[in-house]
Formats: sequence, structure tokens, C-alpha cells
Amino acid sequence: MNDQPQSEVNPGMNVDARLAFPGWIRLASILAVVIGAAAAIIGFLTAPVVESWLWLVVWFLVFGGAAQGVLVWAAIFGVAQARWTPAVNRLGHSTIGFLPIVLGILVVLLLGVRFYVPWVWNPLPEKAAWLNIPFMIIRNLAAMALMVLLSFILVRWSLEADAAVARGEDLSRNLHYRLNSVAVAITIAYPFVFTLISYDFIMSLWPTWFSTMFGPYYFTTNIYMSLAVLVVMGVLLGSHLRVGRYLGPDQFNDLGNLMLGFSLFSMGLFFAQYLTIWYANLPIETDFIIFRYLRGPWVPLGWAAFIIGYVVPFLLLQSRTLKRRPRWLFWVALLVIAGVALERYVLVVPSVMYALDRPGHLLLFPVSALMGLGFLGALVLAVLAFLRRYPAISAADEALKEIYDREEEVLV
Amino acid sequence: MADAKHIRAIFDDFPAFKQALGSLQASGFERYEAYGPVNLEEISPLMPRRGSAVRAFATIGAVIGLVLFFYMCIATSLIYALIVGGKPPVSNVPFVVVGYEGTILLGAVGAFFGVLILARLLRHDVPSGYDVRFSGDSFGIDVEVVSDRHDEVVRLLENAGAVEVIETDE
Repeated sequence: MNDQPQSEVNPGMNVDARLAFPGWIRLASILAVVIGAAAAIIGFLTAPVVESWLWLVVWFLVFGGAAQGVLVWAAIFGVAQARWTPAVNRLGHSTIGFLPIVLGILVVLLLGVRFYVPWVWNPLPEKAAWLNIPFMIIRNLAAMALMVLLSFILVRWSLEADAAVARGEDLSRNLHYRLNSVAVAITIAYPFVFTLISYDFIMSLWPTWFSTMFGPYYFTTNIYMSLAVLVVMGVLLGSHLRVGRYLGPDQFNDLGNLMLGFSLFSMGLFFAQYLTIWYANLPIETDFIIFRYLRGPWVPLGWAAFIIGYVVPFLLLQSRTLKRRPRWLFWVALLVIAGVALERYVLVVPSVMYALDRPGHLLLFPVSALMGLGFLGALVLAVLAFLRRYPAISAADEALKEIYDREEEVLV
Repeated sequence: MADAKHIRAIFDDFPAFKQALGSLQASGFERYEAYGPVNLEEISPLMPRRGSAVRAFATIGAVIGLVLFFYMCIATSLIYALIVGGKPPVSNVPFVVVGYEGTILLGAVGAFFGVLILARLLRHDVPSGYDVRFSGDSFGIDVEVVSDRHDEVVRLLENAGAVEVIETDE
């Protein structure tokens, strides 16, 4: 290990540290992809086709949202000039290889809208200007492609900056500004793109329902879940990356604090949306909420998602001791991911089951659920491939940290 | 601690002072206080971590705020039990907003008074470990120590570079 270059800031850490991970993980991931693909084939051939499509929508929202969300966090940390995140940023960058797959799944979903979207079966003339298939395909593809493109630019420029620093060049002001500008673009684009995704893949499945709060609620809960994904990645990969104190109790404590804040913020948005709908008491707005949280077979699942994903993590994350122990925080992060994933299921599936006049049909074809394994395997493969190829610490981020520290000293 | 004594060390430079605090922490001492002419953020991690009682003030204030403001909403609604917009007079959904505001307001007020009380801002005497030089150009550490670790503490402070080590009873 000592043959490799050492960090001046953090002795004992390889600035060129790369992933050394057991080979069986790769094999298991490939197996997961195969199982996922087989489940898709079986599901689409043997079960009611709408159920497999709905599983695909749910997993797209969960895994696509998480993969993009962790990259958005890398951009947010860049904009905020965070000095504690060089390793966390690189974990965020590592999902970049999965985004083209997300884009591909989006194309498949858009081509199959007639199989699972109720407004295609029963068109609403008054909303036809928005709810029509060509426009839906164009706007979603354009928005997601923009997001993926910006993400690729961010990662590429970050790697170029690393290479410049590795060659012994100073991190130029231009390079720094360039990285910041694309990070700002991502943080601005993200709310718009994910609001659109939430409108088209959740809200419009109950085509008469609308809520202006729903977009913000969706993209906020998505980056909340992405924080949990970062924690899981950090705990599982941290010891294999040899990044020293860049991924230690202090960083996990900060990630835990962010999760705590976002759990509270998400619950606040949930209540704000509920309150406005409760006040107006318009049937066109209330039925979506009543069906999931107040009356009927979906109520236990709706509240279970809320309690598992938000309430319990909020209570557990009060503990500083827990947040400083990665192995404990890992379980809270898994709770968050499970809760938010279940919430996505509850937001998507009842709308279509209601439209099909099967409101009590809670569990979709379970074999198709295994498509989620395929998503997981592909995500793991993409992350491992990235972290094997590129250093786990961005040298540019480390150089920026020194610049920020110097600037702060001058100001003091 | 019945047989505890206080050892006060005076330092005329910051690195030695910081090193002494680090050594005390590394040796497992948990009862010591630091003094200096300026507030230095970087010694915070070297100080013993004690749970602050301000949290209790904030929590008690917050619970009182929640109950009190909910009570205010319910009581005033019941004075004129009118049905407005088809909603029952006691509608807890909007009262959550008021209850939440009360929680934050009285929680913050509780925390404020907690700081005032625990910081002993109205106190006229000075802590027993204080030396007037700590308001001038020196830094100081006051360690509460049991007799069997007395020599260890003196040696530790002197090795770190204390210019003076004094033993006191209080």
C-alpha cells in the first residue's frame, strides 16, 4: 500500500484508492440480472400483463430515482462547497453507468403506456392537450435525457479535474467554475425533471386527481431515499475502498443528520398536501388520499410505508450515537429505502387497480417483483465497474477542500 | 468525589495547552475544565462530552407548547361550537399547525431560558479553577483528580509544557 501516493491532508489514505471487492459479488450481481430478466419474461408471458408493467414502473421509480438522486447529492455538495464529502461525492458519481439503463427502461415504459395507463383506456378530453401519448413520450425522454447528459458532464469534468491534479497541475479557476456550473445546472434541472416524472408515472395514473404539492413531495422523498442509498453504499463499500477518515463516523453522522432533516421535511410536505386537500374537501382531490390513507384495503400499506420510511427513522436518527456507528445507521437507511419503495408501490398500483375495478387487489404477480433483483444487480455492476476504474477519492475535491480552507483562513 | 483534588495548570502558549487537553482525553480523564482569553472552537473535540441539560429545558418547553396550543384551539372552538364548511368544531387537522407552532415557540423559549440558567449568566463569583491570567495572555486547565492518579496528571501537564502546576482543594 505504501508504494501508492499518500494524501498530505489525510495520511494513511491512498489518494489513488480503488475498489478491491470480492469476486463473488460480481457473480451474484450477474445472477441477479439474469433472475430479473427471467422474471420479466415469465411475468409478461404468463401473468396479467398490466401487473408486470406496474412492477416495472415501481422499480423504475425506485432504482432510477436512487441512481439519479445520489448523483444529485454529489452536485448539491459541490454547489454547497462541502468539504467533508470527497468520498461521498465519488460514491454519488459511481452510479453514472446505470443511468443509460434507466433511460432505456424509460423508453420501454413509454412504448408500453397503452398497457398500464388508465387515461389511455378512458381519455379525458379536457386534459387531452397534456395527456396524450406523443407529448408524453417527447417530454419525458427530453427531460430524462437532459438529466443524464448533465450527469455525464459532471462526472466527466470531475474526472478531468482529477487527472489535471494528478499531473501536478493546479486546479484552475476555470476548471473549478466549470464543475460548479454543471453542478448548479443539475440542482436546478432535478426538481423540474422529477416533478414531470411524478406527474406522468404517478399522478396521471389517477387522471382526475391533481395536487401542486405532489411534485415537490416526490422529488424531496426521492433525494431522501438517495441519502439512505449513499449510507448503504458507504457502509458496504467503505472498508474496501481504503479511504481513511473521509468515510468515517463524522461523515456518517453528517449523512444521518441530513436524513433526519429530510425525514422531517418529507413529513412536513406530506402534511401540507394533506391539509390543503382536507380544507378544500373537493371530491376530485380527496379520493386519492382517502383510498390510500383513510378507508379501504390499501390503508394498512399506506400507513406502513409512512411509518417505516419516515416516522421510525425520524425517531431513531435523534440518537447521535446511532448516527456515528455506520453499522447501526445502515439498518436505518435500509428502513428508509424499504419505506419509500413501499410508498412508491402504494402511490402507483392502487390507481390502476381502481381503474380496472379491482380496488382490493393488493399484491401484484409476485414473480414479476423479481425484476427488482435485475435492477439491483445492474446497479451494483455499474457501481463496481466505476469504482474499480476510478479513484474513490476525487483528487480535485481534495484540492478544492484545501482551497476553501485557505480562503476561510484569509477571511478569518 | 470525596478524595478528589483539583490540579490547575497554566500555559503561555496555545499548542502546549491543546496538547495537554489531548493527553488528558487520551488518558481517559472525564472531569476537567479549560480556560482561555478567547473562545477557541478547535478545543471542543478535546473536551469531555457531557450531555447538556439545555435539551431537557427545550423538550419540556416543547411538550408544554404542544399541549397548551392544542388546548387553546379546542377550548376556543368549543366556546362557539359552530360548524363551518361542514367541518366539526373540533377539527384536529388544522390544529396540528397551531400545535406545531406552539411546540417550536415554547421549545425555543425553554432552550433560551435553559441557556440563561445553565450558563449562570447572573453569577457574580468566578469558578474555583479560574485564574485572572486566563483573561490576559494565558490558557489554563483545571483537572479534578482522585489521589491515585494525582502524580500521573501532574506529569502529563508538565510534559505538555505547563509553565505552572498548582494543586488546590476546591
